[in-house]
Amino acid sequence: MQKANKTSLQYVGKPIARVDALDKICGRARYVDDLTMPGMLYGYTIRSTRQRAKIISIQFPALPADVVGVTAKDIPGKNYVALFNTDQPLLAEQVVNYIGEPIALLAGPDMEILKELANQVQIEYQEIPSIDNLEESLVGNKPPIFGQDNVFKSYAYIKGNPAQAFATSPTVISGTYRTGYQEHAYLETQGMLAFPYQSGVKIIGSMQCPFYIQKGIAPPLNLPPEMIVVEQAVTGGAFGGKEDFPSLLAGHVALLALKTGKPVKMIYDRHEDILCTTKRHPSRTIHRIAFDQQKRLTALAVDIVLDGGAHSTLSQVVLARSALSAPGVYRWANINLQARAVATNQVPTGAFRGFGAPQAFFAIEQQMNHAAYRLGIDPYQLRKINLLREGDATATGQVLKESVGVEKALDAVVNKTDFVQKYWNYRQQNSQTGKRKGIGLAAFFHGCGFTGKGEELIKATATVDYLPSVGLVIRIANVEMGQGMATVLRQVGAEALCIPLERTHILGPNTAEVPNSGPTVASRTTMIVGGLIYQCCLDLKQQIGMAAEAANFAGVAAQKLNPDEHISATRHYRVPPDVVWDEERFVGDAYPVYSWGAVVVEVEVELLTYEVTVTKLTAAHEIGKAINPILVEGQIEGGSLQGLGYASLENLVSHQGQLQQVTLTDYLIPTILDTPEIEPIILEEPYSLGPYGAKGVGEIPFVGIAPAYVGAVENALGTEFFEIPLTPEKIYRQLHTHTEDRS
Amino acid sequence: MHQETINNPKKSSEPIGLRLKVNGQWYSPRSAPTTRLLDFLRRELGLTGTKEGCGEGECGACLVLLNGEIVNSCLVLLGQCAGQEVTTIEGLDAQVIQQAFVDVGAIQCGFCTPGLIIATYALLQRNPRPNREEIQQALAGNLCRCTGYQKVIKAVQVAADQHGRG
Ligand code: FES
Ligand code: FES
Repeated sequence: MQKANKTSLQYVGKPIARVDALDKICGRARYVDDLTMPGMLYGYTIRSTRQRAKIISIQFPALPADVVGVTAKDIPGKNYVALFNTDQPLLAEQVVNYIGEPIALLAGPDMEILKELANQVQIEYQEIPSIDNLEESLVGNKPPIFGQDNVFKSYAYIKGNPAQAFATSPTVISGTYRTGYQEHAYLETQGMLAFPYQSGVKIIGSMQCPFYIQKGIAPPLNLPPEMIVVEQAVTGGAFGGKEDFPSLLAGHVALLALKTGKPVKMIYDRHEDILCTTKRHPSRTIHRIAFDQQKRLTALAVDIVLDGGAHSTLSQVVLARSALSAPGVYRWANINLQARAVATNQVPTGAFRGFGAPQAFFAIEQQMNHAAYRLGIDPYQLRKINLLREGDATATGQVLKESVGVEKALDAVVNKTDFVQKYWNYRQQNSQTGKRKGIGLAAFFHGCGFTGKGEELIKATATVDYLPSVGLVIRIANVEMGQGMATVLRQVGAEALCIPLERTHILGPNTAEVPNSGPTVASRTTMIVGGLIYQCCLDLKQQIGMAAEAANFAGVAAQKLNPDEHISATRHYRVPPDVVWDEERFVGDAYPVYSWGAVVVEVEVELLTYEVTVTKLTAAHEIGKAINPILVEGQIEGGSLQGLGYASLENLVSHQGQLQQVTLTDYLIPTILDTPEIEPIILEEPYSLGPYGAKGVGEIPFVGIAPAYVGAVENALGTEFFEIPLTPEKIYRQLHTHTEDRS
Repeated sequence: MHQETINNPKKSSEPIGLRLKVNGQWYSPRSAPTTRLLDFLRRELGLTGTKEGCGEGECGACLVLLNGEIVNSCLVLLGQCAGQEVTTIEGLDAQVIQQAFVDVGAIQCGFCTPGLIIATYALLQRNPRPNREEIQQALAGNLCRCTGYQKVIKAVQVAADQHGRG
């Protein structure tokens, strides 16, 4: 795209303050719960108290004149929220499949009265044997929830001759790895406001994907999509939690608004949000890897199962990322891979930063940590021997042609922390009281943009306008949810046209005013949508007769255009012709390009309580180009701490379908007291098709934290762990059932 | 700064009945005394800079100053505030702190930000030169899911330096 000469850049690469900072520090930013409308009603949801049951009857109490109740019978169209499948009802009708599944809705002027009325709604159930977890789902001795076999989606492939490779390799390392639920715990809970608008409905709320909502609720509302106008309000964090779930909530408020003819607002309280919104998929991975005499990897056999909960939501694409991440950052000649996402009678799981990759990387990187121990080599050396480098092919046969920064990242964190020295030193510790130190390492990638054919299917479109009196107006459907999109994309526009940042604007996101540039997910916004904006800016230059590298755009435009005349350019994303993916055979270029990372976690473990203190986290990420380094650091620091929470602290378990931690008192996320010093290291190997070389950074900081953390605890205690979150109780249990201490 | 009249409401001709001062102005609420202070501020006064993140005292998004001390406004009832002075983010004079948050990049989604600014303000009032540990202790009641707190700590340090200079 552009061979950026570092010194010539004015906006790109600069730590420019966020464009939305001022509103946020003064409390002026308007999140959805800050909005009110004349005559606005509140909405409330009545939910299943059963894990799996037939609904025999639903009986409302006598409702006051100003309260309206609705059930599935009031849905004007088809009773599902459209995504990949149609299995998720807008409101449960015949059966409920998880505790918290929405059954009926109330709208009225007083929230307290609604809650009282909701308590009086009588629902008669007839229990059905429920499927509690992924193991039960696989056994298949109960009526399936989805299809014939409970499997939402499966992928499998064999490469080379893994059976033979395992038989002839001198070292085989095996393990079964488990990861738990994780709750997004965005600080702003989910919320939506809807009101009748023109001859349809308008929805304003907290979301990542305005067009997903439009498309998702058109079938139940029985409206053409364009009559559903969706607008994002300032959004208080999302992390994937506001990718697919908001369609369900938007469907509920829209239904109530259309039924009552009034604006209706529904804001979940924290308890409701934790209870019924999507989570990270729990996983079980059975893993085997083999090495030859030179400690080179020879074969991989992996079987991944994700617990998708009661409805399919995004599980199939989450699973694809798990499957593609399972081989890690290494070269393989022989692979036997199986991956399945299965249905259980639990709250549906969905998108969460990392999107299936953290579970897969936990398994492969723990395998490498365990292998290093048994092979008597340090984890850094073992990785170096097997690492993917430029020109190598990935597990699916994708030749890595450019921008392959994993070795750089690995070297950076290892050198920075003196990893190898500390690793061997800590192995010598034998104190039985006080504290022991440990250090752990992980290396990983994150594919930028949608998996496989995703970007082709979505056909992202961006439009820019230029008016001499206003400047550049960017029209896209992507949202600012805290990550810094609005600042970064304006930097790209300002740089491309050499105009001041203040003369760039982002419109919307409102489905009536912007083209569909796709959802704000998959670490795609900067690279894919930023790339489109960059191209659009070059088109503008061409329209007024300027060369792509010419600088004085505003001057030339002022000469050629009247102050209120505007020019405009539109671009559609096209997958580069040399990126070819065969979904059926699981062969080819799974992503246009990858970001790469490595982290080192350092810990102290208290030997009496097994309390683990993280003393330092060092994270290096190779992301092509940091358009805004301060925002990139923010992603690294925030993603890293969220990853530490996942690895160590955030314990969320379900007992007979009932989540046991449904408040922030029970479900603990890291506080400022839990955070170690986090040192971000930004590395840049420009990607030729990214705007100014940029790739994605939103998710990758999370991806490899868990194995680095667990590896550090193992280094301290001289034992192996297979499950996260690795809480002190789990460490205790493992050490006191597992007599063989390896130290 | 809002210290002068805080503990001396009589001077401001406080009448009988439930009255309270918010951001320098006296109000006679329409809301019932059992209303959470948070709801009174947001719904009756439209001061929506104070956020609800949990409603149970865990997150600090709803922090306000009550007579100069931080409280979780989700845990305080309006009736407990009679004759007292409440300061919200909208009424806080904390430019140095706010600028530091902007400059170091301590803001992402911004939902925790008003609460963090209030907590920082209260900290620097009583301890103008806090060390890292004191900062962590003072902000332990404020959850932030976005930033990993690194830049929050730095922002407080920068603000403290600025204060020192000013
Ligand atoms: S809303 Fe008050 S502490 Fe969370
Ligand atoms: S910036 Fe989002 S919670 Fe702190």
